[in-house]
Amino acid sequence: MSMELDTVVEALARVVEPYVGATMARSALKVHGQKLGLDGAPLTAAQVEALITRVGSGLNVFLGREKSEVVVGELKKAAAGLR
Amino acid sequence: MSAGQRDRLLDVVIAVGALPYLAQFLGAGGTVPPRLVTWTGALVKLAFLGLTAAWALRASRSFEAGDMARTAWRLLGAGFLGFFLGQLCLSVYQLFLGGTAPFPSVGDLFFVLAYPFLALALFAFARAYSDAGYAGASASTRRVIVVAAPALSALVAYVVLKPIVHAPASPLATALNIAYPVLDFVLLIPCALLVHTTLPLRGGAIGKAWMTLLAGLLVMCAADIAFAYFSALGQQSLDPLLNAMYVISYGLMARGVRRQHRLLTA
Repeated sequence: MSMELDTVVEALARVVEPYVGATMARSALKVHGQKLGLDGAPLTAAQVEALITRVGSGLNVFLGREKSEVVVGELKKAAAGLR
Repeated sequence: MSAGQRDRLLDVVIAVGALPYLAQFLGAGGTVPPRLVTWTGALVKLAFLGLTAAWALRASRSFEAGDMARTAWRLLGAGFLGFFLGQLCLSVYQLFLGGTAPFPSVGDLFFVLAYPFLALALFAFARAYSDAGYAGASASTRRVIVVAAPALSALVAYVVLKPIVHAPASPLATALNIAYPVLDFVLLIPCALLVHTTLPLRGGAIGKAWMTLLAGLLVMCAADIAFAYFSALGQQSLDPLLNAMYVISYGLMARGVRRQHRLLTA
């Protein structure tokens, strides 16, 4: 099942904004999306998974591995809620 | 006790440590016994520095070996441990050996050694965040900060250091009076980089923790520089105000590191 990029970014941003703020959450997700070559076309589940992995590894430096894994779990839940 | 209540408790401790000094500065010192001012100030400073060191070292455990953030937290913890030991030496003189610490004293050894750890820690954080894609600025902007911060510091340092160099003091005291402001100015460079890096994160918990910690470092640098300058001019009337600034700066640093520690471990 495919999902719109903006919808995914919005859902994932809500999970990470308590940590990095609303502006940085959205801009970081968009940058990660661009680096993955996501160009606005509907995303596949694998692409959403890749986006979540990238966001999670970016948060590692602030939150440590254990806490980042918790956030990644929350991101996956948020993405699953869109399907 | 909730996280918010703990934050408020830290604020109360900051007030308990700083208000007696401010009362002294404003001429209302008669209402507070000087001994009580010294005791509360010394104990609050020690508590903040000790806790900050402990929280920073514990925060490092949340990162894996070889991770730059782990190194940065360890260096930060070591720096604050140095400050704690320096303050401990001063406190022994202030509380048990007659009231005033000699200058220089063994405490200065710990204070001076702490600075390289703090500066390296802040550079390591800036590097780690940049590597993770949170540089907060383009490479050229970062280069401007790295050039502009020392240039501006050198300008202020010239004004500050001039009376210090000419003030009558032993060679070691003069060297230390010059070293402290110089080390503070060096510390301002990674502080400026980190302000730029973490400012875009200010809406979130990470940004708030960093803003608080960096505000504490900036207040500490300002107090150090002012202390060296006014001591060289022989003006001791500002000492209570500067002591209040130290309490506030240590309190802010403790609050910032605790917030970050809570983020990592909650």
